[in-house]
Amino acid sequence: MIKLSIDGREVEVEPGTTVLEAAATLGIDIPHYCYHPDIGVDGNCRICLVEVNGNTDKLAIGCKFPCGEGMEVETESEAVVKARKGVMEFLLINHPLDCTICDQAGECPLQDYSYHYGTGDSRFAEKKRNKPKHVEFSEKVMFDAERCILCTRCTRFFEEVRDCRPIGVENMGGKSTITTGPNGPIQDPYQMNIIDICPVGALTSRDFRFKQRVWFMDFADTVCPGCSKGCNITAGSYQGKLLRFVPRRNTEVNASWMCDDGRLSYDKYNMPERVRGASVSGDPASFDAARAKITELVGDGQGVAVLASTSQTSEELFAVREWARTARVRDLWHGERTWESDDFLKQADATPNTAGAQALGYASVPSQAPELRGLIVVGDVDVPPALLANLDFLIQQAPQAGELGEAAVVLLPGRNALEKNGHWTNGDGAVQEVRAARDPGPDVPEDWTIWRDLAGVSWTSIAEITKAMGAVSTADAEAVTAS
Amino acid sequence: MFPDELVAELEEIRSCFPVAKAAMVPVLRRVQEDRGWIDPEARDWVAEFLSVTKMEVHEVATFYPMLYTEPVGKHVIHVCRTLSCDVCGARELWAHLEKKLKVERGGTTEDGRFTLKSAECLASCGTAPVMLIDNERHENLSLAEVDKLLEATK
Amino acid sequence: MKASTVISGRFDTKNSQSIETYRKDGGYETWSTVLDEKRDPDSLIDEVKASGLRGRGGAGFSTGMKWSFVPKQTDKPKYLCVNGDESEPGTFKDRQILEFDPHQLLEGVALTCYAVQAHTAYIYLRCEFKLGIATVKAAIKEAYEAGMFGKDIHGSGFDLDVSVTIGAGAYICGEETSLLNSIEGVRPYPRNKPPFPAVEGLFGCPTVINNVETIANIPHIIKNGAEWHTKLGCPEDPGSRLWGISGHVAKPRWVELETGYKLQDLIDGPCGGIRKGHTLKAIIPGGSSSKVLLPDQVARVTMDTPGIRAEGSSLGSAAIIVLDDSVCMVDAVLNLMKFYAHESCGQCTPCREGTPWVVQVLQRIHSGKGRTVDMDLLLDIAHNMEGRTVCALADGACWPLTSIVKKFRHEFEAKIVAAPSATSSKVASA
Repeated sequence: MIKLSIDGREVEVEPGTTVLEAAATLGIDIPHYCYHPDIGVDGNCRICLVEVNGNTDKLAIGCKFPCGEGMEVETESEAVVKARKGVMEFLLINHPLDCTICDQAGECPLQDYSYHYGTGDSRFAEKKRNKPKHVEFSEKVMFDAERCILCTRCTRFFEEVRDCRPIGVENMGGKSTITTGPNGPIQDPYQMNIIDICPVGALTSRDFRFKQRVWFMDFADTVCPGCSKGCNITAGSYQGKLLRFVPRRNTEVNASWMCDDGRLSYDKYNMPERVRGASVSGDPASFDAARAKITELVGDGQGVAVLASTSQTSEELFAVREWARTARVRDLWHGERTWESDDFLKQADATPNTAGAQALGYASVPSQAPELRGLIVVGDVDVPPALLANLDFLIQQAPQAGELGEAAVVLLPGRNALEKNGHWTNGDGAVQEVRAARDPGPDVPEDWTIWRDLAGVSWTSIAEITKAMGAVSTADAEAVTAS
Repeated sequence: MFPDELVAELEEIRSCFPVAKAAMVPVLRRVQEDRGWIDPEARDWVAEFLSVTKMEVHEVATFYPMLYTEPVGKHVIHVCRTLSCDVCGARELWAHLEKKLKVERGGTTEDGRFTLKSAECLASCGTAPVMLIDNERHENLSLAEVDKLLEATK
Repeated sequence: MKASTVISGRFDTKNSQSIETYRKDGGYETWSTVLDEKRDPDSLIDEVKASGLRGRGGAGFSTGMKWSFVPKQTDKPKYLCVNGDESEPGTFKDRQILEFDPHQLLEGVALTCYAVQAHTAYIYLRCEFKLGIATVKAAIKEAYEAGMFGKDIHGSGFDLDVSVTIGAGAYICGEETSLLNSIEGVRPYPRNKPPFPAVEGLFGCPTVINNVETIANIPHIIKNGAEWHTKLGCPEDPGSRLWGISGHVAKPRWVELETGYKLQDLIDGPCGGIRKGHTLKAIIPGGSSSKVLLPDQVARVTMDTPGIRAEGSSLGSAAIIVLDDSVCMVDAVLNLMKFYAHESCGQCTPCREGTPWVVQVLQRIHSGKGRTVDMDLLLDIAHNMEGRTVCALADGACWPLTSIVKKFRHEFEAKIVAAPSATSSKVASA
């Protein structure tokens, strides 16, 4: 271990730790643009300059400079603050300062550091440099070279994370520009990550552009429902309408990345057409009436099975299982949905909680399914047609009824993957918290409450289920599987 | 795309390095000598020859002033504009050339014969002013000598 | 002032470029002896260290010290890169060696490689050196044919491959780590240090990078011994250098002199004084990236590291740019700043943005639209660039800029207060 001091505070770090990393352990945030924790260090922006051992002639870059034994680092000394202000000024002199129409506004480190280190007025009395604007890098990404600060996070992302070179830097000096050069539009299916890591508004999402100012939006930290990777995301919405997903850093799962397919899937969760309230035999009914009908149909539970979506949270699936136990329904199956996987994040299982469902004892639909009298379909799930043959009744609890809806004797509403709270377990076994990013509006209660009420249990919150689940899940799941 | 002889020469350049990519600048220069400039076709050929992406070639080719990624005239003239030449006659030389060739810095004459480029210090400061015609150095230039040189460069 | 012929002694020899004349003059004897006697490589490093030789590229770092940083125990190959990118404004010395005595350089390459146990050397030359490249390539061919390079040289078991590679007109490639990237075929941005090239250089392997003139000194030091070298010129910065004098002297030229001479004597003697009808205004003494000297400083400065430091400047590449009273210093510094703005690689923010900004401000002052705040602005922009970037290009821009603004402030002020029409923009009529 190496001992050093940063701003007069002692810290001990592993050999090879950089000053920026060491400072972070003390809660000292050294400003940075080109540094990104999930890409290699470059050291070009120079905003992270720090003073080492009193040397003010040559400052060191915190993002690259390795900690040394006994080193004394200052991150807020006079020389450092002066240099930082200088770098800020350099970055802004040719920047268009079009924050009023820039999508990055409100979540822009250039704005943030400018607020801290900017001078408020400009000493730049010259003509700003002109560079290409509105450059279509692809159907997904728009580039503005005038806003670009040439930190090269974007080119390094492709080089290091994606092992491809769809964009690069052309020309030299002040004329340097990020470009697709000899290439056509960017094709990489993870390309939109460069929008997030761009520390300024140079790379913007053509999907999200000009839709909403971020400070008017609401955000929920949740998990992408697109596949069993469970990339952590922040879902952004405005007045209940989802406008974008962006990845949220989790070094154990997705680092700072997500696939474009997952990212662009947000709109399907806005669901203008959906099930509201309960209905029985196609007619609106009270929840009490619906519950009574279910109890009547299920009877002793013989010949009845549950087919649940693996987009349901474990808490929801637990609640369903609790009801099934009371109703003596023994076959708990989970749905399956796949898409094409890749060698990075995208998994073949296109649902987020298969592992959670399996841990709770839900099994794949057997290839030789037993003859069924009734089927209870929970959530957004593809039902194998074979299961639907010879049914006496179908009960469906789901956000959208789809084709099944007409056949359902009892139809109950449900919340979609972006409207839920609880946990999903990803394909690697990580149990991750899911938080509702939007409210579905009237007559769509939380799924777990429907099954709680059917089961006649007295949980008052999701947290209670989480707790109950934690105590019973493993052992219980084994018992169910064995039966 | 290139004659066998040239390809053999390029292969020899490439063989000097443990990785093919390291032959980038010399190969591009040699290709440029052959074609006048690094046109997209040549760029793509070099990418394949060095087992790199087109972008890697583009990034390097657009960096260096002595690699041309835009077409140039039949002959390229570089006139030094840096201080020692500047104070020893380069201004007069510039004015003379711009007038005589009816072209601005960086431009190509109407007949496509000359491209007039500005160069930074050419390491001939003691023999200023200096210019290159097709990379051939000419020092201690008087305007009369320049005229003669242009005349001789068909 | 002591004229010297250590490096340039053979330049006037007929066919000085050929191995035949080089060997006739005793060339490659040192290299052969080192191999035949199986000298301890470290003893060569010690010799060069003790000689006091400083790098001739500009930074002036101890050459022997640089070599000693190369790890002895390593599985990786080691490389020597010879820096012949010679692009520092005012500098035209390496070119002479390349064109007139390439074997002197090649023998130095062989000895250096032996000392650090490198088996591959690249001589990096700017592509504008058409003649120099051809001359060195021909010399390399001769050296191979004469058994000076190649496999198992002189039966010693030592292998050495030497080849020429080229740059393409970018000043930045003279920065040693930029040069490495240039050779590797990526954009030639300077690298952040650490790691230093001696440990992690070309292709990630231990690498020594030395200037052409530095390497040309090696055969002489190994042949004559460290002590001989320490007695040349100034004891604190010994040796013999090729000085290039350009600008407004009667006879611009290169000249070889031992360190420690008086700059004034050089101007008045070998250079024939300031051109007729004019007086000295300023000298930029060490390539354009050094601080300007005024006539009174020129009168007393000795050309060696301690002497020039005492006047607040640096020897750099020993390129002396002489400016007489016809020069407008605003114009001169604008010319230089255009150079740095053009040559900034664009990697680091302060240099990429700062150098063109400086040009814009100077252009505005020059065109008669200067403001009284502009001089301080220029100094502060420089302050925000210097020591804040990966390499020293921005520093090199700041030194002439700040020294000229400070020492010739009155010329800037005159431009600013005068009506545009009253100020001539003419610098010099040669």
